[in-house]
Amino acid sequence: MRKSDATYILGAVFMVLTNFFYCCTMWFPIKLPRYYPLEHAWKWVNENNVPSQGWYGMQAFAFLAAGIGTLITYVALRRVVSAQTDLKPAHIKMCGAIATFVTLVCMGCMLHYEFSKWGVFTVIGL
Amino acid sequence: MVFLESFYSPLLLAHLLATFLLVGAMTHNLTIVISYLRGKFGQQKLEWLYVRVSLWAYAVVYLIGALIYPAYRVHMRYEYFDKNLPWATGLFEVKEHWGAVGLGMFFVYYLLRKSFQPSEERDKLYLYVPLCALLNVIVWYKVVVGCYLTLLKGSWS
Repeated sequence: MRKSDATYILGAVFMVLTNFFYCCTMWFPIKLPRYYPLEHAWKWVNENNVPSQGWYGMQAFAFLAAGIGTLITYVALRRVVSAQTDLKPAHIKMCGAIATFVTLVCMGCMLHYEFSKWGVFTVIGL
Repeated sequence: MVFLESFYSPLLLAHLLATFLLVGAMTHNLTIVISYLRGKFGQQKLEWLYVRVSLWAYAVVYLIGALIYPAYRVHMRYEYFDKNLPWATGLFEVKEHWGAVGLGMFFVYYLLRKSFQPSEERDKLYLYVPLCALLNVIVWYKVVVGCYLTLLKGSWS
């Protein structure tokens, strides 16, 4: 596989996995570190009625998990596909379309999650 | 004392100025990328420049945003928005989530563009063009919501 093809595939994989794992932090009760700005401290628990920031932990988890997933894909591609193989145009197009679709769905899930949680849909009459 | 709260206003202004650069570069970039779909590839060098400018601008916007987030979280969100305008917090949270995944998508966008020539490998536009459009959606959402929230409450006393 050519270097540009590998970049294309791995880029698409990383993009999809980053979005997917980021959504996982909303869908599942994954324990992540939170920053408590008033105490200048990091904790693994989410304390009620105390301002805290889970955003740093969420993205660190998403990037780390996506990075590992992309690395596994890279190793698998090197074993399965030979260096001389060219990707078929149909596969390139399909890969791009799937990556775009999954990313769009994940971004929609993030929006739906927060808009439902904070009553934005109610305010705009939906 | 919250982290960097004394520097909140100048950092917010720098955040806004870097965002102007980002949104300008990305919007111009999108207009060129769309022309690729019509088979016009005359502005590839300029488009590649916009990609590099966008990446750096996004990194600066992201970094300043992450630095001022603690002060915003306490003085704006916790003390005002969560109690009085919870829907505004909803708008803000989407901005932050999209901004976070947008960072990864920007690096993919940059590496992808660096690895291919749009005029020679047109099949790859199936990812490149939608990615550019999605990044524009993220950037424009961040600009509009960021400015709107600042209009609702720009600072604390």
